[in-house]
Amino acid sequence: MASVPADHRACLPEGVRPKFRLPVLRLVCEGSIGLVLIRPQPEHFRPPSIAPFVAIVEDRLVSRGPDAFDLPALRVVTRRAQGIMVLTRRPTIRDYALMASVISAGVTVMMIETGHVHGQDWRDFVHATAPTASIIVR
Amino acid sequence: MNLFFPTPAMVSVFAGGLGNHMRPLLALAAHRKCLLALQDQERAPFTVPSARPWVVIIGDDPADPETSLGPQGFHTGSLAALMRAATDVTIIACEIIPELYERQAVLAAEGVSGVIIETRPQHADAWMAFVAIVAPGKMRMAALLGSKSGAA
Repeated sequence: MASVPADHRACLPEGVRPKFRLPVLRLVCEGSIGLVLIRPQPEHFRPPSIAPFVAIVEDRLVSRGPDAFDLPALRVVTRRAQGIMVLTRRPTIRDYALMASVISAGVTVMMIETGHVHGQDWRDFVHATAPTASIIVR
Repeated sequence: MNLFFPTPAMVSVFAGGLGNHMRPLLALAAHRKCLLALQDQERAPFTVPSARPWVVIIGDDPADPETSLGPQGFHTGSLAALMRAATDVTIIACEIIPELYERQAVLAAEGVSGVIIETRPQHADAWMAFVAIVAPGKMRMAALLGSKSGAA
């Protein structure tokens, strides 16, 4: 399925953008999946119209929890995710490689990059919003 | 530590990513019969799962054999606590042996919490010594290079 990265900065190298995302970004750049980068408000985002897609939630560098985001749009995206990984430690390339293999099976996934402070908030949010999704907590 | 909460429909998908040998454990976790966790090399502390039974896979076998570190690649206190809390510890220091994962799934279905240590041959002795010290008698199975598998 053709798609264009929602944000070209996601494909920049380590230091500008973390290279642990590469396994997933490769799939995005190959045009096989969609990408939505989700940042805290005041940024708004639109849920992608195509599937499968990967949603990457950026709540790591300055962690503020789900309430800092555009919640209505976030809930829509979260409900569409069949596989969700909540990363409360620094993400690794293995985390993204695992989810890349999941996406390759046609599954829409969400990667929530956060910290310990709001890890439980995100778990609660995910369990409440997408109770039927497969969840990996790290 | 990666805690897995798969849905039954996603067992095959995750088995595709983690390896088909993980299917029995993923299926068990999908039906909430056990808690499944993967701990990669990391020197930060981690906690023993609170919900029993659990199965924890210790990943000391990265793609590059040179980066396998043995017990030193992990937080020692956390490892020791995990081994002490487990009833059954298996060490796999050779190719994947699916039967050992099936065995752990059977045990977990009976309520037994266990650890599977995936490592490289050069660290098999270090892992066996570590388990013998911190959790004597807990190591029930060891699969070493050149052997299919054997009871400890």
